[in-house]
Amino acid sequence: MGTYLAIIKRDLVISYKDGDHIAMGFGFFLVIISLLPIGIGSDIDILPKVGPVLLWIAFLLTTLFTISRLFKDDHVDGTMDFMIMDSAIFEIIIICKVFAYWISITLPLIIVIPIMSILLNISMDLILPITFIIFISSPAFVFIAAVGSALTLGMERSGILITILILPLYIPLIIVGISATNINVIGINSYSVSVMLISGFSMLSIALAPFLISLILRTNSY
Amino acid sequence: MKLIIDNLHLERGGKFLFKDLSFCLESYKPIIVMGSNGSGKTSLLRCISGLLHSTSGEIYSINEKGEKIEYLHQCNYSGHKLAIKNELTVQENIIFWSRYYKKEINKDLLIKFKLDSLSDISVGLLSFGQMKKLSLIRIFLAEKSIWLLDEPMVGLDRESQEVVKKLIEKHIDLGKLIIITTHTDLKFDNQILLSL
Repeated sequence: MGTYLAIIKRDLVISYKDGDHIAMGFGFFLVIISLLPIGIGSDIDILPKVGPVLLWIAFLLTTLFTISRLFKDDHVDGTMDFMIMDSAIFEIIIICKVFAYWISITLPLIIVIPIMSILLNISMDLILPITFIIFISSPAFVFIAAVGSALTLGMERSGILITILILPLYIPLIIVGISATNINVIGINSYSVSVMLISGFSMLSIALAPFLISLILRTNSY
Repeated sequence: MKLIIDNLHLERGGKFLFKDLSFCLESYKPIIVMGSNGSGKTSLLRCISGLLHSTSGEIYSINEKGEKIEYLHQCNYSGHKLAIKNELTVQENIIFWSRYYKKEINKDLLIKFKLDSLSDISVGLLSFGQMKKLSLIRIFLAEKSIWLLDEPMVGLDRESQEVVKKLIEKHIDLGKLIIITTHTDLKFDNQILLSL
């Protein structure tokens, strides 16, 4: 357990010391959210309808935008080499690294979603369901993006390539997630079914992605 | 324990770095790999450490009974990449490895390497030699059975080279395995010289 906690703690310390990455992600998220109301103009009725969709898209793009460095630094400085050699625990090391990323980048975004929802004039009744459904979908978001990060390791400016490679995998998640909080279809059944589907999607991602990432990183360790 | 390298071929960029390479790494018999730049010394160590896939051939380990055993988790590799984090201080890097390997750091080693007074300094501010020493501490701390050291003396002052040499001799005396690539004149008892 000490090994895993050491990795999480080290990655968190590096994230906060090298704070530009967190600031960039956070800033990117805020810029997307705050630009839309300016673009829509004075029609305040449209904003609550497109607001949840915008939150999902901003969340997705921020994840894809910030994930490219997840394995890159360890790959460049050689830390990845000795982690790969500890083959029995490498998949768990990957989970620890993704978890540290989730705490440092994703969790602050989830925390500000209620405030962003108010900015987007989203109904108060919907703020908590939207925040919760984005929260439970965040493991799927991050683990799928981490696969893209592993695939594009060693490439300069890999962010766009990750987006192209990974975006189709998010489509089911976005459809289910948005339909759950859509003002026209929300109801106990549709929301609870969506929560179950997204939870399943997240758990499947946590279970499968580390093995896929491990395979990719080992193959590309050259 | 023995490490057998059996008929190893490695092709990179359409050129064979080595062909039919076979040798046995045993206790008390360190292997010193020498060769010109680009001859495949680093690639050989990376093949043994499982970080690079050979074109053909086999690398395996056998125990005293002659049974094949998994060896990768017993290997520690120190290459050109130093595996240290520039954002962290010297102490934070050492504490991380100490927790990662669940081993206590020998403070005498920090004193011998003259890193004890630099513990709160960010690694990004160190000289290359100091970074190299910090990187080697990871190998000595982990106490694994097989050391794969790629030019361990590069960048080190004479005093530190002596410290590293003594630690390598101690490792050999414990019956553990070691392969070192070098361009310098390193000598150990019973060493086997391998030219690539």
